[in-house]
Amino acid sequence: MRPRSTLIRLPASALALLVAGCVSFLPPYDHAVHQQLEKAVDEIGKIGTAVSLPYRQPAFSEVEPYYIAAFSHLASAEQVASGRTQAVRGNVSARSAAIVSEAIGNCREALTALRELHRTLGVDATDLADSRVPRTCTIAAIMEERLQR
Amino acid sequence: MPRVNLETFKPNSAGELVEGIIGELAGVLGNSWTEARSEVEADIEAYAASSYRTLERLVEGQISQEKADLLLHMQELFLNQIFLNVEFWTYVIAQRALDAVTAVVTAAIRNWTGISLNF
Repeated sequence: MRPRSTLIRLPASALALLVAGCVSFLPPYDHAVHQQLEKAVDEIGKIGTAVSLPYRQPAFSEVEPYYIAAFSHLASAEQVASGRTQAVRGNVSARSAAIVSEAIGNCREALTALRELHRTLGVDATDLADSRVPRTCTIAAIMEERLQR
Repeated sequence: MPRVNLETFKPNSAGELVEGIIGELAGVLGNSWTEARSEVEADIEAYAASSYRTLERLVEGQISQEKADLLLHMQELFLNQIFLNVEFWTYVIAQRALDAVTAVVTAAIRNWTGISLNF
């Protein structure tokens, strides 16, 4: 069977798929966003380690640098993601791009609340675990990771 | 239906192309929904466990109301994140499905004509 006649016999739906292949439901992956989010998660991990020390509870001032570093990474990620969300508005990928931006915002808000809790009332290992802040921020990082195809 | 071998897939009719597409789709979609479901279920369980433990600690006087307030607030953000993740998964899966179908069609074209289309 000659290939040319096979292609002509393809149904219209298959031909439509050929054209549709260039549509994307996901915005382009950004390595900077991914990296900054992973670094933020790392800093939060350091907070977790600090409050889980068996022999003493560190003062907030000792742990605060980790919060500051995490917020710095989150701000970078949020800024780049925001630019991307603006850029793809009106496209098919608009909503998924907005979701990633919203997820980064949730992470930042959660970390803000955790910092406030830590500063005013103190945070132990149970508090940190139950805040679910590490996982909240990890979800944002994983979303960005899944933009890779 | 088994996944197609993209190296050798050379359909002789539209029907065979459709079968190849469906086979590939079933594989990709099946795996993706399973992955999505496990992830979301694990997060929901974690949310429930944390909420409950916070409630317990509050009731037993182990933590103050202020602390419980802030913990519940963070758990609410986590729950919101879970729902965002659920919605995000639908786009990831749609994209994987589209990419899978595209891969099958371009494989068929490449194996028949030697041309690698890039669209």
